[in-house]
Amino acid sequence: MIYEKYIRVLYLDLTTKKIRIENREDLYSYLGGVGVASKLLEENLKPELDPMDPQQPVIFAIGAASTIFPVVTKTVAMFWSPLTGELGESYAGGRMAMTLFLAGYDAIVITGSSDKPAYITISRNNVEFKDARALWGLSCDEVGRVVREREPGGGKRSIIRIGPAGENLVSYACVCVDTYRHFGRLGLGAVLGSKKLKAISIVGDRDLPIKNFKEYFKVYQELYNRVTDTSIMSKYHDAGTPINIEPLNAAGGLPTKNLKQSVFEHGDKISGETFAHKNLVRKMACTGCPVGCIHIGQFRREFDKGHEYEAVSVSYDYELLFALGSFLGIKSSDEILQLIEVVENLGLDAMSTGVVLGWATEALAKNLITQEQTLVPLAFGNTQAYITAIEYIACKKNEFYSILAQGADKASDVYGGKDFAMTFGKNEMPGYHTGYGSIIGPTVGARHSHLCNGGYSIDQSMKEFDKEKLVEKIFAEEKERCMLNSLIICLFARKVYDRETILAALNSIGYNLTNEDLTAIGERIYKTKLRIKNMMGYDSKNVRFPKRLFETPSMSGQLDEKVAYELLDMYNKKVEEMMAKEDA
Amino acid sequence: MKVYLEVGSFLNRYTSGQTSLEIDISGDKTATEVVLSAGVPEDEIGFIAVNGQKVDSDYILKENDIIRVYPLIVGG
Repeated sequence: MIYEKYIRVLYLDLTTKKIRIENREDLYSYLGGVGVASKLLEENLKPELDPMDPQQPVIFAIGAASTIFPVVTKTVAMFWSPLTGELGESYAGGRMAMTLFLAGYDAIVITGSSDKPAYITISRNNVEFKDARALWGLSCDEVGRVVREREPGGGKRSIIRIGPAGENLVSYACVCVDTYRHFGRLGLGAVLGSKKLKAISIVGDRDLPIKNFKEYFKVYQELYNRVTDTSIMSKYHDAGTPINIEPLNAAGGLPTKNLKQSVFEHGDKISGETFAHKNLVRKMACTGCPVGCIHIGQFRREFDKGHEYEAVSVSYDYELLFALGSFLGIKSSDEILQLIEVVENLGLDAMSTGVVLGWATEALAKNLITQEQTLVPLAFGNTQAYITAIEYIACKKNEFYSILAQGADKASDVYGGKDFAMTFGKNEMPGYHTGYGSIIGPTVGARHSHLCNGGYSIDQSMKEFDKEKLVEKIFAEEKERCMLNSLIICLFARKVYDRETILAALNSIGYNLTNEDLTAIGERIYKTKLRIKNMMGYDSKNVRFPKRLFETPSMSGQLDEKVAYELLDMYNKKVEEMMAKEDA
Repeated sequence: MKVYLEVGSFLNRYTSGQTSLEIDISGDKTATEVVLSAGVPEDEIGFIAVNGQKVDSDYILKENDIIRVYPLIVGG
């Protein structure tokens, strides 16, 4: 809590409907964000019970600098992932961090399960459990609309909610935050679904004066100017991350058609430039961010005969264009937006959904599964078939779709095709086939995301491939991001927030930290995450890479499976050394 | 000799909006030198392709080469 030496935690139990608030001084050394969330997850986890047991906790936390400084906009969620069976960690922007901050809570711990569908309203003086039976079954869009109409606080309110996929416990169901942002990855939507929790509305309307305003504002202004007046962030506002399609495709790093290819012959039809030219209608920003990187694209849909059309708006970014575009061979921006809209409304993670369908498409072509099971003729480029298949995943239409709803790794356990089930640690791959960094990074990353350590970015920056350097950089970045995510900075701005800037920012609001403290905090958090993974039964030595990674050339050329395993061993040794130090 | 430089939508902010430039060069010049001389900052260059093929930064240009400069891959 700003200006206090404690972390204010709101505990909610959906079974007993009990509420309590604790000011936790012992969590102060974890700063906030992922540091606090991982500690709360560790102490509330029930490793002896099933990951989806009602007693398992879901943690939300904001960071030590949330909304106080520019581009510090994220909320972290931590949970036991039903997709990977281990650490669940996901981030979302929107208004959630601002509302939690101004409602006076640093973190929320939710346990238990409601006997009937519920939603929770949170404000600084009140928490209520409310009946959501009438909302059960509604899409993310619809439930957002209803809660907006029913609950007060517009403008200072955040509404997070799940769609039918979460209700039906699809392992990669997401949580929609304020319509255009998401806790996308690792199945938080299913965990909330298992708790019968349809939505949370948070109102933050506290007035919080800044102390020592002169020092604070000096830091704020410097940061604001760097964000708005330099080119560091401008590409995120301009065409946004979809700009990646063009260089990745030209360099042979764009996963295409279930990574049978790393170059998409129709890449120019789904490029950032094409989207900007044909579909982009608006840009938005998370609260507290002057950049505005949320790109809203529009497509036209005929909703009735007689030339009756409506304009449909959805947000898009690079990962969605990869997963629901090149990975499925979709060659038009309009069709990708159609797929995004279906995924959004059903409340699925777009990345996992696209990669799972890529596996299913190839499995069908290889006769590992039949059309009697898929019910639709899945084929690269067939948008209509994919739309129907996504709907079938969300409702677990038959036994095949029930298994597909558990992810590509599970589906390949059952039907075969492990070599082309494109997952890292059971989490579906991100949109980078750039080199060894793009493989090792998400594999060793605590949550198996490209965002754990930016391995793909290290591939790009390394002039010459060097095993030691690559492993060291990934290891260092993993720890550094634990620290950054305790603030919680949007990682797009990580080049703005260098160590000097972070110290100036935090110390201007009452902290008294040194560079060494930041290093220690990063390592402390990483160790906590690794202990949690261990509690959940994860063993990094059991990891296997899909062979497809070594069959299709990457941006760095053909990759060697043996080298990848060697790099994995090298990384694991570093982790063992770090953990042994703690135990000594 | 003449070479041609193509600059994509983001990087053309450094070339006064021009996306296609015809450039006269004399002597041995690398693709990187031409890109930099057109105004694209080094820290914005992802990679350079010549005649559709990705090249090393020290690639020496030939008559009528078509250079394309790509931005860095961005993200979290």
